[in-house]
Amino acid sequence: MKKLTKKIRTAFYMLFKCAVAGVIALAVLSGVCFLVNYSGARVHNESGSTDFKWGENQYRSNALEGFAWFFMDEHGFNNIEDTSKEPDILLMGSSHMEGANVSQKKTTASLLSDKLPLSVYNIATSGHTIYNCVNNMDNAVKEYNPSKYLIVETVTAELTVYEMQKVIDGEFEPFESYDSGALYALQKYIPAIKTMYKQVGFWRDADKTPNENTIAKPAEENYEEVLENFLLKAKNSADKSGAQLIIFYHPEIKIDENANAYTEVSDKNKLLAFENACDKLGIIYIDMTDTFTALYNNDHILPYGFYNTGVGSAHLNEHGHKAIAEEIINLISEGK
Amino acid sequence: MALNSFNFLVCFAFLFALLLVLEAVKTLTKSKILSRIQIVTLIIFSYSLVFLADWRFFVCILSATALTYLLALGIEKAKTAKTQKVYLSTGICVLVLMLGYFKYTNFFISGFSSLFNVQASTLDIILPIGISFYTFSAIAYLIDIYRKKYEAVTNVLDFALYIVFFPKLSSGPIVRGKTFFPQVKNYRGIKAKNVCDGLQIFVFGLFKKIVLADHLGVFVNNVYSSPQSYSTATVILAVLSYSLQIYFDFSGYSDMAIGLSKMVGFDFESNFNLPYIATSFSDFWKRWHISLSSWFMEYLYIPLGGSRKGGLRTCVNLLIVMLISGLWHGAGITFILWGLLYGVLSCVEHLLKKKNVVKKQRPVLNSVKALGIFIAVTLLWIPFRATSLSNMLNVLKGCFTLQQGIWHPYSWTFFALFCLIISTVFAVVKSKKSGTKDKNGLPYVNGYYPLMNLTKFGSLCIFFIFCGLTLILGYFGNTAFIYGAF
Repeated sequence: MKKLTKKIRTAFYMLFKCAVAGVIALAVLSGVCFLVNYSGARVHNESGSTDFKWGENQYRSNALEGFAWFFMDEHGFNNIEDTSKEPDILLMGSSHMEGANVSQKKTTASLLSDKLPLSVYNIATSGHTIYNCVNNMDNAVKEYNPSKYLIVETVTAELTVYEMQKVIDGEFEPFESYDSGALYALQKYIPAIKTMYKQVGFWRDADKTPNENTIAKPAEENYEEVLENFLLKAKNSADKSGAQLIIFYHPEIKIDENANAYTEVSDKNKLLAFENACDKLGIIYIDMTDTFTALYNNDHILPYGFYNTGVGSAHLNEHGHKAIAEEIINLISEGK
Repeated sequence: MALNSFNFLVCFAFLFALLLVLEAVKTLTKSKILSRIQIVTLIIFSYSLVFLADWRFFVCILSATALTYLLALGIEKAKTAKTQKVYLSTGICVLVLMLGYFKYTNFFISGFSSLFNVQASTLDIILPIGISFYTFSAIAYLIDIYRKKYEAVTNVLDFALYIVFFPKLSSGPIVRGKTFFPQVKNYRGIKAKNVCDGLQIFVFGLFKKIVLADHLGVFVNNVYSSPQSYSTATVILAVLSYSLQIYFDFSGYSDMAIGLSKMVGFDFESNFNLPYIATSFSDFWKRWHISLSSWFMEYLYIPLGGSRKGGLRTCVNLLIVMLISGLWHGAGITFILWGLLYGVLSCVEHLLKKKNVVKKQRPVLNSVKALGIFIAVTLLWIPFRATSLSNMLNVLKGCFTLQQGIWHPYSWTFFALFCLIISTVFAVVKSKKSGTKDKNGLPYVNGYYPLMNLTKFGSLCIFFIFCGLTLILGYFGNTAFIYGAF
């Protein structure tokens, strides 16, 4: 009996040591995360211009995909200067346009700001697809009132009727955000847990077959009609402040075994329909395919990927941002 | 189910919990039958994994197990040497034919059709999990029984576990009967120190695999899929990266297998011993995939005559062994070429080797030799990795001509190189301190696992931090083990 008691006591003592060691390890790992992969917590955006924003003056770091260490502005977006009061140009989009993987001076927004005599404000935020952007556009225009251009970035011009209709009907689900509570505190102060939680999710998904990871989508009916209504919603939002709506599409560039660059387009008709709809509605549409392909063919440069990722994969790098900025600058300089 | 898959680790956690409960009951009741129950649990778990992968794999491995078990008993009980030889030959032929059918049928059909310009469609054959490894284990067992190295196992469960034991099933190491059977017979169960050590070895292996090898694989796959798109410097970096990737992938897997085995009560020898500091090709093969190279040495090279029948015969034997080794790794012309090149280089090395043994240590010369062997081995990995002869030629062209293309100094390559250098330096220092020597009495560097005492608080902290770093830095883009494909 004495032996058993002693063993139980040893076991409990060991468990206690493990718990304390675990806490210390979390603290150290969180310190590592602050250096290599930190974004803070997603905070609710009261204006509704985006589903969420980052904390005010939030410190960000990224050394696992790209190399960038910077602070967000006082509104929780990635801008060097606060030009949020009625900017000439408002940028909306996803993490590509947010530019958290490159130096702040090399983002599209910074380059536009440097080269054009116009004020530029960037509210592009991680995860925000064209659906999120169009869904939030009314609020964005109301909040910022861009006077000249409203520029929206998208990685795809092959949309789905299902999601477009949700936006049109006002039923599109926004991302979650946390202003307080345990999840907020965990994201902000113990980033190791957030990172490890995400990694475990990827780990589990790695075991799944591709079919398990995709959601079945309903059949596409009246695609062009729905697309036109969807883009019209965006146009109407931009018109409220008198800004010209520009949508630029930047596809992923891949290289085949013969060293030729190509983009993976599953439905060329959808691409064409998007371009035609933009043309019909007076939306300026920029397709970066040719520019990106030329960048590879002439300079052996891919617009995506970093020295710590696969070649040409992941987010827009500084070359991609520069190419996009130049395209927009040329367009605006031509007086369009 | 790969050892680094999430689902497998969850299943293993349940298995381990069950074994732990049985161990606790065994300690309390001091009943020996519980050891057998633990063995049976391991067998059921191992067979379940095979069955879940595909019921046909289950039938395959069960057939190989039954055949080998019965033939071994037949060899032992046979009254004449001729009968023994018949049983042995039957066993080896059936196992080799089984391996040949699943692995090489389509290769030969494609080769035949292209050689004779005949249309022939390939068969729909899936490679059973671990077949390359367990057939070799089975052949080794039959030969050992024939040579009377130990007695044939009469307990069918013990033998079944030898063939199907899950940590080593899909990608080795190829464990010998003389190592395995005494441990089954005197199964020691779950011990705290073994669990602590095994867990650390497992995490080392996991770090090598998911942090180093898998990240390197992303870059290597990019470049090898289109070598003409990249600059010479990038192609060279990718070739170096593959050298690192295959080492970390395979040695990482071996560590995971050894670690898991240790946790459940089995000790296996290390399968890699700092191969990239080898000072000759023969030294390289004593350090790389040790269980396979020693298998080839003992069951093929030496029976062929080894180096005992003169220089020319030795060269022929080396060529045969390396060709078969190449073929074992894959059914493809590039693997055969890889084996052939190693065979030729080994022959040249053998012929140039001085008869007088060097009694003095020459660190500078050895360092230069090691660098030379590393460069040669790295170049030899090109046909191994290439998907076809033309792919191989494109990579070689990329390395040796001043090719314009994408410049991509992949940071994970430098990180992996840093890890390799640091671990090598530690091993060199430790080997010097312990005075390890080779058979000629010269200093020899052995790798080691830097195990900590996890009952100490500081060690626990360091271990948890290492586990966390492994998870945070890991790549989960669904990358299979390189050697699992063999």
